[in-house]
Amino acid sequence: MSGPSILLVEDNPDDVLLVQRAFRKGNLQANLQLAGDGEQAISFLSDAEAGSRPELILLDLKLPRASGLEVLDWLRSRSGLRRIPVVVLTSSRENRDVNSAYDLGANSYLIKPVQFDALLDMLKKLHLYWLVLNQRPDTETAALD
Amino acid sequence: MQIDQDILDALLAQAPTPIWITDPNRILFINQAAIRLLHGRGPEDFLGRSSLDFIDAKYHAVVRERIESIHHGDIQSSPLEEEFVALTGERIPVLASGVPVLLDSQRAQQVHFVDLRPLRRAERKSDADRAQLELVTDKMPALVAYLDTDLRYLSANRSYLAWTGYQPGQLIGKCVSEVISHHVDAADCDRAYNSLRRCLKGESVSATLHGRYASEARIVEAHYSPDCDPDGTIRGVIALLMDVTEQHRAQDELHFRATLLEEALEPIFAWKMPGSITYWNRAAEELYGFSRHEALGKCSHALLDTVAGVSMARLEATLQARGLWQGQLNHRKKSGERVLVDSRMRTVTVNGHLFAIECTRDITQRQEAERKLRDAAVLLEARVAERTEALTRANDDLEAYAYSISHDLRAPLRTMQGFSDAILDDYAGQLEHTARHYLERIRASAQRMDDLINDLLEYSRIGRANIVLERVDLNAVVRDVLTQQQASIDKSGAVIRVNASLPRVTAHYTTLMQIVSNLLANALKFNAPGSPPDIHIGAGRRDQFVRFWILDHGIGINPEHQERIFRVFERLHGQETYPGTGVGLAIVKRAAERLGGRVGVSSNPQEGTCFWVELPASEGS
Repeated sequence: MSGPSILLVEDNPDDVLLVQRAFRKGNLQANLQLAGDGEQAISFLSDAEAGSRPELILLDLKLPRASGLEVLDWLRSRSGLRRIPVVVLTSSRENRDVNSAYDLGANSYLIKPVQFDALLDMLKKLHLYWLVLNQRPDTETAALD
Repeated sequence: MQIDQDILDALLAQAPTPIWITDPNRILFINQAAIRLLHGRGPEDFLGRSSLDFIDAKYHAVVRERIESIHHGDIQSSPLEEEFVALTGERIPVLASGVPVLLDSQRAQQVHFVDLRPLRRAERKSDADRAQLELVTDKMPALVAYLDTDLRYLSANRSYLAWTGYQPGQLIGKCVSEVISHHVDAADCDRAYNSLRRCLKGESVSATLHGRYASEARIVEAHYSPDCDPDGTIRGVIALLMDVTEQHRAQDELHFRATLLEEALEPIFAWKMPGSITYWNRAAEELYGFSRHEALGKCSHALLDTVAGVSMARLEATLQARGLWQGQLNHRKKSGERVLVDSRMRTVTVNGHLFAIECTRDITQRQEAERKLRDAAVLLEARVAERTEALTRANDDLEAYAYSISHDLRAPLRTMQGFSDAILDDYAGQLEHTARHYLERIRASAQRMDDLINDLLEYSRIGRANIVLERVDLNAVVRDVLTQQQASIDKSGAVIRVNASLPRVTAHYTTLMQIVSNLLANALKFNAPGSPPDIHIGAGRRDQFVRFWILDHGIGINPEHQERIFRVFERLHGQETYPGTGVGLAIVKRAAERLGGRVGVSSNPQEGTCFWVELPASEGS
């Protein structure tokens, strides 16, 4: 896949399939990377070379092994990684989750729609906003600790 | 025997008794004693002058009469009291007795005088003594009277007269029985008579008599003493009465107070500082078990083995310095059992001695009760804490449950939806019409289930949410809701009128938005097919509340259903005509209650519905 690199952290394979289908249907240009739980996400990000780090992370909250919030907390404390925009994509409408995510530095919080059309519409807008319109931070020079 | 005339003359002249001889007009002879009495120099001052010249004018008439009667031979006349006027002018009282005599064959009278001045002086002395005695008896604080053996008054002092109400002259001679019955109570009168009769037999008797003086009840202490001759014969009775009313009253008062102390339910005792107990009331006997006899004279601290929170020396010092000490003490009863008391000691000076008065209260049972109460409170707190913990746990479980529903139940729905959609989309050409219809039904069911879950979660969230009340502008809330629902408003073609300047309320912004949003959605939805919704929004002050209302001209609600519609899952219409979960109004009701308000509806079928919410008004709105 060509285009900017996106890390999708999602444990539900059905949701992964639907997101992938939406990207396909929407003809959205992106290199969609996958992590099936929190630990995989952390491992992926730790191992990523400076040049191959994702430009956007789509993060589910309820994940096996390490939760989305734990991943976010870890990420925001890592120089070189902490500027990567994170969009939480979850089923939870709980205020507690929304507030915690923002407190830990999430850039956006979206509820997964049930209707596929709505999901498609959401991902199109998300792609447009974060990967086209949005000015990317300079992650290249952030020193690794 | 014939006595020589010269000797007789000489005798007369030298007699120690003043004598003169007069005829009715002139003094014929005066002896030396008479000349001295009248301060004359010699007989020449008197001889030839009228005897009346030397007698006070006020006696002249009676003297003249006497001279006349003697002149006519009266020898029986009694002596006459008269007053000489001496040559110096001095008045000299004398007693004169005259006899007729012949002098040189002339009728004359020889008059002897007795100088009454020594007698008068003695009399004056006696009067003064009597007056002094009367003065003393009058000034005595006692009632004094003297009675003869017939119990008649011979004298009484002023106090006695005042007591009986008689004037000084009126009482004397009256019998005691006719006097005292007026001012002594009948029962005591008899005792008084008995006492007096015993006294007349030589006995000194005392009696307490109740009576009245100046219409006030008085009490007198009567002492009757016999007055005896030197030979022992009883001459009369000396009655000495003391008004003891005030003493009796004081004694009554003392008795009253002593009874008060005795009857107190709590121990009261006193000791002369630093040691011995001088008073010990009945409650002290009862609490401590020591009788009064056992307690009096003992040192209270030793008797009761007093244990205080401070040293006894410190306690005594505080009591001496401040005159007061209060605190808890531990005392030992006679039985050896210990008792906890609240104690208050106060010092008081009596006859120059310092006494301490101590009142105590047994608080052993109270302490026990307090301890039990504390234990019960601790137990209760523990139970409450336990319950609270259980409740918190249950709440946490509920939240986890809601969270789980929120997250986990919706994932399969997305899958159902997503893949139905994928089949419909990607394999459209290979599906029969029925297959497409089935897939649509799966998709619609998934959507409906998602709506249900969302509404239930919202209903639960409203109940649990941490709501902070603040001043909220209804205009802004309505504006935001209209913006949020612009799409469905446009789609329905609704006409919406909003009154100008809605009041401020006390509420929570997002919760209030939820209320308005749900009500507006209802107004847009429940509308007769084919006619665009006509909606009117307004609000007005009602006492301390603001009533916000949304009026539609839709299909209305039957009165019998108007209460049910606020319950969860209550629906009046089929899913096909008016789709919905039946939770929206339940959310409105719960939200309004969380804001301290209430919700209601008035509606007529076919005419429209007016939903209203009353919320506390904001100050200044």
